[in-house]
Amino acid sequence: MVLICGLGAAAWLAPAPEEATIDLPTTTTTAGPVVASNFSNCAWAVADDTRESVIGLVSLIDVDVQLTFPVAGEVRETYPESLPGPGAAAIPLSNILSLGVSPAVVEFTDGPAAAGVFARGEGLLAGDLCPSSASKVWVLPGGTTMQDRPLDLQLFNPFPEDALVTVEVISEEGFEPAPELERVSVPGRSWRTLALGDVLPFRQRLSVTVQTEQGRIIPAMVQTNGADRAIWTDVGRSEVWEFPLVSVGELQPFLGIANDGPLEVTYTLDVFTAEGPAEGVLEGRVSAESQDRVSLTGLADGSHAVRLRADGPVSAVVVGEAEGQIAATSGAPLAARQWMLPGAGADSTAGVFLWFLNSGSDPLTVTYQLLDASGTVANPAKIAVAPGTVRRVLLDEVGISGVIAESTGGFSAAWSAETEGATAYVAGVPIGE
Amino acid sequence: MLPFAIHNGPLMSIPDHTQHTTAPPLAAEVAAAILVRDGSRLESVLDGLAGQSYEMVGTTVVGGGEDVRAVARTRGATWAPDMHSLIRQLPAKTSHVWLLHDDASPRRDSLAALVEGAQRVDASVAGSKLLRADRPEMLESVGSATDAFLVPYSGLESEELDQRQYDVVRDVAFVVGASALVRKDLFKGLGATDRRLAPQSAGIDLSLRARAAGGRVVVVPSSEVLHAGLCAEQTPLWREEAGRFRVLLKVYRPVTLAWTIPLNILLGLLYALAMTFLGRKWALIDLLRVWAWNLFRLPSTVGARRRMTGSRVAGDEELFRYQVRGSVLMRELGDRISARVRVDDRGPGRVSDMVERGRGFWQEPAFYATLGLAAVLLIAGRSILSEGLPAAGLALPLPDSAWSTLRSYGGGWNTSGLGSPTPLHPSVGATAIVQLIALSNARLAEVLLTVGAGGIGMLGTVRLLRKFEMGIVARYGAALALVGGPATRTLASSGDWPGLIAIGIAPWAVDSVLAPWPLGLRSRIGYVARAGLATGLLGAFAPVAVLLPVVAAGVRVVVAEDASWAAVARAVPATVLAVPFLFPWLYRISGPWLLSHGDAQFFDPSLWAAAGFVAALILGLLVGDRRTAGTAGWGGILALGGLLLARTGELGVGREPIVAGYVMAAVGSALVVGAAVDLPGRLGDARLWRMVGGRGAALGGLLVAAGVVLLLPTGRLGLPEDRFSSQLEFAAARAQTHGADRILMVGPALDLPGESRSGDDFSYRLVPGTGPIFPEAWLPAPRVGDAALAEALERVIAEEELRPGQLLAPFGIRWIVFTEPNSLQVALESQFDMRQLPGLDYTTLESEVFSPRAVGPDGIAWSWQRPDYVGAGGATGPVYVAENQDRRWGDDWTAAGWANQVGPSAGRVAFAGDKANRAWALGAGAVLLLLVTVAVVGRDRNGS
Repeated sequence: MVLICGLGAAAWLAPAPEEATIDLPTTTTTAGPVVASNFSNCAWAVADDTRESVIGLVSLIDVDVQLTFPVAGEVRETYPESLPGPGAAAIPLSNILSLGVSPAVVEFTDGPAAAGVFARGEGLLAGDLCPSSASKVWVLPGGTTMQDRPLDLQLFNPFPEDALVTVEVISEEGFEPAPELERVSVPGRSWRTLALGDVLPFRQRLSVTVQTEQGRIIPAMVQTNGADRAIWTDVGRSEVWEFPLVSVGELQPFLGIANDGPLEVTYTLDVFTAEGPAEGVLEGRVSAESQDRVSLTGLADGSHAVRLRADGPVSAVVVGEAEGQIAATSGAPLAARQWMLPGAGADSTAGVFLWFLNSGSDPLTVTYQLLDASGTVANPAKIAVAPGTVRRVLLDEVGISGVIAESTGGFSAAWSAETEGATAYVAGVPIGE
Repeated sequence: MLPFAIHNGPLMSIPDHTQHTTAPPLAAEVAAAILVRDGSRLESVLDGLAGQSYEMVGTTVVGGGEDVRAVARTRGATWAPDMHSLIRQLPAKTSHVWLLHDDASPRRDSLAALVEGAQRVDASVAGSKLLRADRPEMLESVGSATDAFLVPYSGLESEELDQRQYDVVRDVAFVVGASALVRKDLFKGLGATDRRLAPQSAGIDLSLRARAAGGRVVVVPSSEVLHAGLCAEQTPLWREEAGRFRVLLKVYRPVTLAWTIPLNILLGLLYALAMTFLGRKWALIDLLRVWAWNLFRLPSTVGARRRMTGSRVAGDEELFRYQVRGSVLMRELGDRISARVRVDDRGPGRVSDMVERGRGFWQEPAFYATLGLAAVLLIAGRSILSEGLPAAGLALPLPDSAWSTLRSYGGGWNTSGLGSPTPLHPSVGATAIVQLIALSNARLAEVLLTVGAGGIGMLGTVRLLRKFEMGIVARYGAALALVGGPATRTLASSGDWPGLIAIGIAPWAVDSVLAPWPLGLRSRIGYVARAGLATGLLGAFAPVAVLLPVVAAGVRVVVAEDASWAAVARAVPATVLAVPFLFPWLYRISGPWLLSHGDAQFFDPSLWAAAGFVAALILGLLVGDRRTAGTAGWGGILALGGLLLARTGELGVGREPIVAGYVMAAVGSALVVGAAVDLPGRLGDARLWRMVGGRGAALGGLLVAAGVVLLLPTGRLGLPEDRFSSQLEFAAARAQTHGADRILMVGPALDLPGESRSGDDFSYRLVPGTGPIFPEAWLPAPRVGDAALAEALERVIAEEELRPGQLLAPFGIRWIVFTEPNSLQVALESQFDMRQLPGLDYTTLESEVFSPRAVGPDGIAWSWQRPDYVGAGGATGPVYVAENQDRRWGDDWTAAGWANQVGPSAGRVAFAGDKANRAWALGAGAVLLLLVTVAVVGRDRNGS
């Protein structure tokens, strides 16, 4: 009896397994560096009679590249390319397709490698990096649908399966219910352009959240001002954003901040100039599931950069506007030691500047290599970046296709292009260690 | 009625039984007729006739050739070529004909006793008591009954001694023609015996026609004849069966034929089907012969029936009077099946009437209880009977070819996952052997193994508890508890098919070491061989359970007063003999791996089952007598020990020990239920509290046994619903000409077929496009290809790969099936070369990339014909084979990454085999054959 009771008690006390639960991956991405991304999705590129885009490619190592152009449910064209490492290429889209808007998928056989799009035309300069992830939720702040400011949301679905998305828009009026934006179907290997100005006209500040119910898409905001355009996409959430590039020429910059989290977020802006930092120059709050637009005009004279620090993850984009001009780009979520700037220098007609921000406390020397399809064009150049300062470098070399910048410490990088009446902001792509 | 009348042309006497006659005089004029079949013993028969105390009018030898005729002439006997000649040659004064087989040796007074007995009761046909010529003390026949289908039922036990227990003249359905006295006029009127019939059916024919003609058929036991039985030995069984059908067609009236013919055909079919697996493998062929024989002779049968109609004066009801109820064939089947469980509560030497004895068999409670168990089993397993094994967990369909499985088992390529030379689980070999025996019929083997395991498990439990003198309700209740108890249900619900089979074998393994130790060296060797065989079979399906007989015997010594260490001593060699059954699998694994590898269902019995068990156990221990308390305690320790073992998964204990725990718990709980249910019957005059306690224990036990009801609705014996049969048929439907490529199945481990590997937040495994099969249920240890696949999946999850189809193509993976959403499925929402297939049970992605398991240099895929690869006609190498690299895949082997590149031989790529594994497998097979042989040869004929 004792034995039986003992056995029974031991069996009773034996630990039961815990109920297995499946936690699906978070629906939003955290901004981070490129480690070994083997592909990039360029949601917006254009080539027609008046406009031309180049697909900028940068790779640290020898890679084969394949560009794929899904059109109307099928792969319309593929384009192979080989790159030495390190090397860069700028492939004119019109050499492959000239059908107007032509989103592309760029695949690399190895990494790190990155792609970006740079578009040019009469009064047009626009560019952005091509993200290598396909999040379920995308947040794109910084838009407007004021008069003469058409705002398009490009939904690119390069994948075989159809996607179903709901676009939620928050403006200065708050949440904007729009049945036209609910359960929008994006056929596989195709794209769809939503003219937000037609649905929600005359909104000063507009933040878009794309929720994917089925499949995946890669969105891009395309804001038009006159003949110029700005394109930007979402690169994730972060509590810190660095914008080494804020203002070029006469553009009036502002920061679009979106908080899609459930808690209010408090943020602080630090300003960096060539002389040094000015921390905490501006503070503000973004309510839960809300957005804000912060003017950066007047924060500093001359070239300057800003850093956004928040007590919760937010999305942020910097937009510069002037009469008939517009440029925008996402920030850098972290300071990295290596950056790729695909497409930088690909347009020989534009004035191109590289922007380096050292928000840290140690002086840095940034080495940047100018690259083309045969590798390094010239000896690497160097520039010292004092702690808490931003440096702008004019890229006077023509015919290059991209840049790799590196340093012994963390910094952030971007590049801009400027012609008469048109400007483009393009963020760099950090390389993980 | 006149004592004599004219029928059917010839004069034929019809005794008037309404007129009572007393002590008729011995005035019979008897002529002997020796029916020659073999002729070798003719001299002996003639000697026997010469020595008869009753004087005969003559002797005629019927049949045989010139040599027989010469012998007859030498011995002063006449010779007749056939029966009709005999009738013509009979002396006119003859009143009776004594029919004798030429292998019969009548005693000196046989005829006198026969005549006296026949005349005393005014019989028309009288038969002698037949004794075995080789053992004259043993009975062969004392007249016989038949059933309605004319199948003989002697009522005698096997090798029953003649103790004069049947020595009374009485009416019987028929007498054997080896020694039968027939009135001459009747003999002539009936047209003698039917020359087309085999000896026994000829006796039935003559007797039935005589009775239908108004005659009386009796046996006269005081007339003893020694019978060598050569006639039976030299006659195929089917000839007797064919003859009986002919007799049936001849003697019955149309209204009787209307139901006996279809029933006879149906029963014959059932009998033949069953007997095919019960020791008469050609039974179905014999049945066909029976039908063909009768079909061919139908015209002569019709003619004989017409003649018979002319002589008939009695109805079929007169024939029914001497027949047993039901079907003797079905009774024989029942006997065979229930022989081991049936209570033989009749002592030897009973003198009851044979017909009554036949009726009594059907009234035995054990017979109906066995039928009840069979009914429960059939209902609980009806889906398996009709649809085969549901594919879920380890319950996976057997492959089409048992031989291919045995090739893999015997040192060949383990095709599971990306393949390995690692040996297969012992249960794979065991099931393959069963399938091979079932002529490679996978469905039949699945049914035999699954439903058969349930059946033998119940019978084994009944048999085990009979050893402890438990009552019938207790035994059969325990049998239900074994199959429907919480341990079996839980294990079955997890799809652990091998464990379920092991539970069915376990009572036999325990019983085999608790059986009494026989006398004689041969019997003892046979005993150990049987115990080793039972334990080995148990171990094949649940390797750690080979220890069960030792543990069970040891525990019993501790708790039961009447147990001895001898059982433990007998269990040890049984366990040792069982170990070879685990090879070559055991050869390649380590002890820690055996004890910690794999997952099994956590045993969490339902509250009501636990309450019933506790009540049965505790009350059984408190109020039971020495025997029931001992059995309850024994079972309780086994059950709780098993329960403990089956709940140790979280402590790092692996599948094999846990399954052994389930097996032990199932057997233990059945013992507890048996002891508890038996209590009320044993506490007849006990005090009130004990009686109340006993009833409480019985109630608890019945509650546990009632769990079997939960098996009835689904009809799958507790196995889970099918998850991988029709759900994966798309692969075969979408297969290309080279066959279906691999499927990567992804989901929670318990949702996948067989074992799986762990991914990020999911488990995964590869299955053939033709669907998962049992030999691939266990995954071998990961090799280089498995690591490459894991790495590829990690890249996909990290969303670093846009073309997973291309990434997975070298693994031969064309489809990915998700049983539940997980991170891999989410990651695959952003990819470029896989499309979702609509309308399927599971989310399924199909690669757009060519993904064969093997491909030649020309880009043409090779077909997978498990376990080999075959190229199209004239295909040459080198061939890329997407199996884990191993240089034994071919002479011109080179590593192709993690896979193989080999030069084919004659359009085929085959794994050369692992010599050590093959040697171990052959050794295991040899031990199996040896144990079977020794177990059969050393069988104790006394049944002890």
